[in-house]
Amino acid sequence: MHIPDGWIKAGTAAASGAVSLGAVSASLIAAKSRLQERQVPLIGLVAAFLLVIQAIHIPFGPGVSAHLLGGALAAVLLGPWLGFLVVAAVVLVETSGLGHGGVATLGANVALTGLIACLGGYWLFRGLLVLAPRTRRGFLTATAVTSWMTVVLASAVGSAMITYGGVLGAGQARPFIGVMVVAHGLVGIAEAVITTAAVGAVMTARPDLMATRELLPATGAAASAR
Amino acid sequence: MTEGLAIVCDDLHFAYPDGHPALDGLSLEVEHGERVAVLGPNGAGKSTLTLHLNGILEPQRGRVEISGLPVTRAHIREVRRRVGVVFQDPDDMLFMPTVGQDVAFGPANFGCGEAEVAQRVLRALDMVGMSSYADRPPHHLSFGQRKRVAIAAVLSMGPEILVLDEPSSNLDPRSRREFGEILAKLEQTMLLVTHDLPYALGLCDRAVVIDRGRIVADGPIRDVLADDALLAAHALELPAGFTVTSFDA
Amino acid sequence: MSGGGGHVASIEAAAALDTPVHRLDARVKILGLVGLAIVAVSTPVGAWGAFAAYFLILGALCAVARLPARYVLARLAIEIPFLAAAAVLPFVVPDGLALALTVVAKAATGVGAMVVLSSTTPFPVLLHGFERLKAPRLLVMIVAFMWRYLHVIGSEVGRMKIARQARGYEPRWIWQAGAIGQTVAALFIRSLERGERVYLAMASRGYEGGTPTALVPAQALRAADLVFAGALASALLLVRLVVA
Repeated sequence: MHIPDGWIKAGTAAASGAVSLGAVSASLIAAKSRLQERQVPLIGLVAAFLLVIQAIHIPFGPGVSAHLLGGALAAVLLGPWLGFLVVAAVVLVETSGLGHGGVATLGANVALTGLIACLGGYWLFRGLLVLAPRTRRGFLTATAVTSWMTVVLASAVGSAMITYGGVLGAGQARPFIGVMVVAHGLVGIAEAVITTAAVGAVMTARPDLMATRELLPATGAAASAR
Repeated sequence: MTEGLAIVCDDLHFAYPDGHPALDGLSLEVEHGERVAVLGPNGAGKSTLTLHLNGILEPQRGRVEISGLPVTRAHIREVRRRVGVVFQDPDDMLFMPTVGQDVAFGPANFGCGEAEVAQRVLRALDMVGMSSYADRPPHHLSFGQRKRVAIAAVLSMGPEILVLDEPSSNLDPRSRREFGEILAKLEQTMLLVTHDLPYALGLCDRAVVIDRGRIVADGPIRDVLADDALLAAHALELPAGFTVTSFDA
Repeated sequence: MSGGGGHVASIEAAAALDTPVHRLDARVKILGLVGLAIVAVSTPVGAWGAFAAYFLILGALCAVARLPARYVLARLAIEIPFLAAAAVLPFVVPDGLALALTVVAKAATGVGAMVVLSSTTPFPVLLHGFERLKAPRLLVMIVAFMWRYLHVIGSEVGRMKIARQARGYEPRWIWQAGAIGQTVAALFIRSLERGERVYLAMASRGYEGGTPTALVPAQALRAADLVFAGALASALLLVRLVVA
């Protein structure tokens, strides 16, 4: 979800803005040392892909609509820091280019898609991998579950921002959050399908580019490179 | 005397991340002004070699020198100015809104000022006969025209060495000939990676054959193409009805 | 996705016009329009005069920039789902009507400001504006490649669509998830490989990140830029402190 201007209180906007800014700064430092020239095409492609899928808008009725996020995709392919920066860049372009997401709510939107869906998604993914068998199916199942959960979680937090921290007010919190979570639970299925398809394709064709390649199941063929 | 050589490849070894060895002890020397055809079956390592010449790929063993300058991180900028690579698909090379901007991309990256860039663009487009197309978007052009613009986009950097990957592929007969005429007029040292043996014969004096990552033949092009056993051993074929006789029979 | 491509094309067309607004320095436009949106957001509920003033300013900019009305409305349409959400407010919150109208006004101002920005500034110029405002280099590079690969994806989608239609198959529904997944996978890999080749070609011609000055000349601020900045800042201050 992308929160437009006017929907959250100044305090919510400021707080989420500060947190996002801090995360961006930290990610810039962390990513710079990790960035390799040959990853650039994948970074650009993931960014463009996220821009495209976030434009897919699924209405569920008055006031309730859901978008795909792509945060988990960024996390699994690019890792937490580069993934977060890509997500932040996408949100920035959507806001300044399309008006999708407000100017004053930029921090909040980056927090939702970046902190929760991408960074949070990354650590969720790592946790799931510990439980999953170290096979292709295990890897992709963890990807699918992470994709679904990040969409639902982000929608819950976003709804909380608009109710507890915003215009709708705490009184509307439970029904609104409930409806949004259910809607995104459905959309999360599409997110899981798309994310798993893309990750599966890269896993097969170019595992050397994935930031999470060390977590990939070892195949019979020659080991993947550094 | 290596300062006099345009290209020096010394015992190159390179394997891709999936472990596939692409270059397996390849050594090559090219003098200034030579035109060398680089022949070989698919997967032999021709494209891999191309990418080593401007430092896109770094060999795991061995070294590359361009006009005496070692191809290392420190010199990469100058190397890429000296070596112009024309890739097989012009659509991979033309990504700006207009033809003029595509041709300007190279010199602009090397820090040329606006006026100098404009001059270079004009000259480069003139050399390939595309001067009147500077403000058109590339996707409005025919394939042959895009190939010409792709060459101009490299010529505008003022390279000493040109590496062309399958220059004649997918061109209709007339465009193929016109393109060959353009190439024939150029004075740069040239490496032509191609499957089009008659085309190579028309442009180059020397041919090297690469197979399984190393040079297996190197000599005057007529001799190489006249050697039927050699061609057969490396999956090379002249078009039906075409024979080449060496003058030293 | 072809619909999305249409959006991008119409924005690029609008940004290619030549008006005084288009000629303003990108940095001034970025700061000014972002500032407008933030001032609007900080405006208290029910300050109708202030919101009217913001709309007037944006409307004037659209007029001078010769942006067609239909185009602007199409861009603002992105707001529509939230209009429906705002319509719920009067029923659930005390003094909900004033709040709903305020929220809609703020959201519209935000979108409107960004529409003016992106419609009067070609993308490379806009990105360069952010660069000159000291945006982090890595972020700028990500955005530059995002834009470039948007076109790569677009052309690959076009090619795959033709191939698919030639075989008479258009997967669209959730139970065709497998086919949709395969399409996504193929699109992703083809775009990645094509993108890599484009990147190789760019690097081979000396690309090292950043915008070379010969392509987007770094201009100094002109009198017109300073006048615009000053006028906008004064107007916003006046409106916010006096009218609101």
